[in-house]
Formats: sequence, structure tokens, C-alpha cells
Amino acid sequence: MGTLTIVLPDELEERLRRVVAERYGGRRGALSKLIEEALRHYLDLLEHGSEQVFYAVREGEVVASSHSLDELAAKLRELGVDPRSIRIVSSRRVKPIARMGLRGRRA
Amino acid sequence: MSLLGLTPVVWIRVRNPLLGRAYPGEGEAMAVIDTGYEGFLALPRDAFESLGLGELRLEERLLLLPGGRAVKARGVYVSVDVGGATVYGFAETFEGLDELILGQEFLANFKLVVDYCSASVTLIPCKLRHHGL
Repeated sequence: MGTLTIVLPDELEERLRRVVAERYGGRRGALSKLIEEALRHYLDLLEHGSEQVFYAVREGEVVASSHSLDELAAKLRELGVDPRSIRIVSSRRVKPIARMGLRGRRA
Repeated sequence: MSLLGLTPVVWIRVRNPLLGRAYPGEGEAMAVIDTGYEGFLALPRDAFESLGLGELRLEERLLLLPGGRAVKARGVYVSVDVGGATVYGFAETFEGLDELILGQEFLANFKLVVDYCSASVTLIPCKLRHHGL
């Protein structure tokens, strides 16, 4: 694992620390975990544009990734990973709230 | 792809590649196109369970129904085969749902033509526009 020293504007650092605290609490390594997650997401975006990428994640670690679920399933089989033990996430996040139907609204 | 009454429907096969299961077991199932649904695929509990999706680690979210009521939905990613195309997206289920519904995230992969004059529905994949389904 590499160690990087980077410089961030104060407001971004504060925002980063706040999000880390909200998401992971005071867990050790939480800041690195979130930065790793963010970098993977952003680098995928730079490398593949808006193409969707699926990740198999186990205990915060990406075990495999692919543009296709079929290929991801094949990779997991090769690695001998039980699909029940991982969480599948996508580069296109699931909205926490979605509409099931349109509602008419008065202008 | 056709109209059921005035409702556009398509015939699909849903697969869970992680566990190698499909719904329906053979052939295809009818799914309603709902442009007011922001998600990819909503499916009834029995279809969800027959795909083994309940055995996987699920994500939860809220769905706002047209009447304003919010329901808790849970789901995971699946493959949907339609015509000769395969698309991937988040499939979810919630209490009381009794039909397969395809929403905006599914439709975003296609050019959709609903022609009420000839009572036909056409889906053309964005990446393969020359392959009409």
C-alpha cells in the first residue's frame, strides 16, 4: 500500500472529515477508505466515461469489478467467492428515494 | 412488445447472474412500461424470491407512490434480457406489488416508440440502433 501526502483546501478537508465521521464514525482507517472509494469512482468515470461499472465489495474491499454483471459473476466464481458474502454496488448509485409514479401538481 | 389495452408492455427475462437463476423459469414474463417510475425494475415478491435475490445483500430505499405514501423497497442488481439485448440495473420489490414494472432507468438504454395508431411498441437499444427489437 502506498502513502501519499496531499494538500486540500480547508473547506474541502472539513467537508471530507464530516462525511467520514457521518459514514464510518470514528473507525480506524475510515479516512483512507473513503478516499480510496472516491478515487476509484472518479478514475472509473475518467477512464470509462458514463459507462456503468459493477463492484463486488466484501468488508469494504473491492474483490472484483466489471461493466457486466455476467462477467462479474464469472470472476467471482473463478475467485471462489460466495455471492452471498459480497455486496454489489454500481458506479451509478441507487437514489435513496425514488418516485414510483408521477403526481400531478397544481401550478 | 405490444399494447395491453392502452398500456405498453414488453416481454422480458430477468436473470440473477450471481446465483445463475432466471425468472420466469422458461420463456419470458410480461412487464409494464411506466415512465413515471424512476427506477429500473420493480418486481413482485414471488419473482424476487424465485431469482434468489433475497439471499443476496440487499440495499433499501424509499419509493414514493403516486398518492404520496412512501414504501420501503429492497433490491439488488440484475440482468434483463429483452429481444436480443441485455441490460443491467437495480431490481427492487415491496409489499403489495403484483406486476413487473420497467421504469426510466431501464428505458434510458433504449429508443422507445409507442405507436397507438398501429398498436405497436418498439424498443431499440441505444448502442445498437440498427437492431430493432
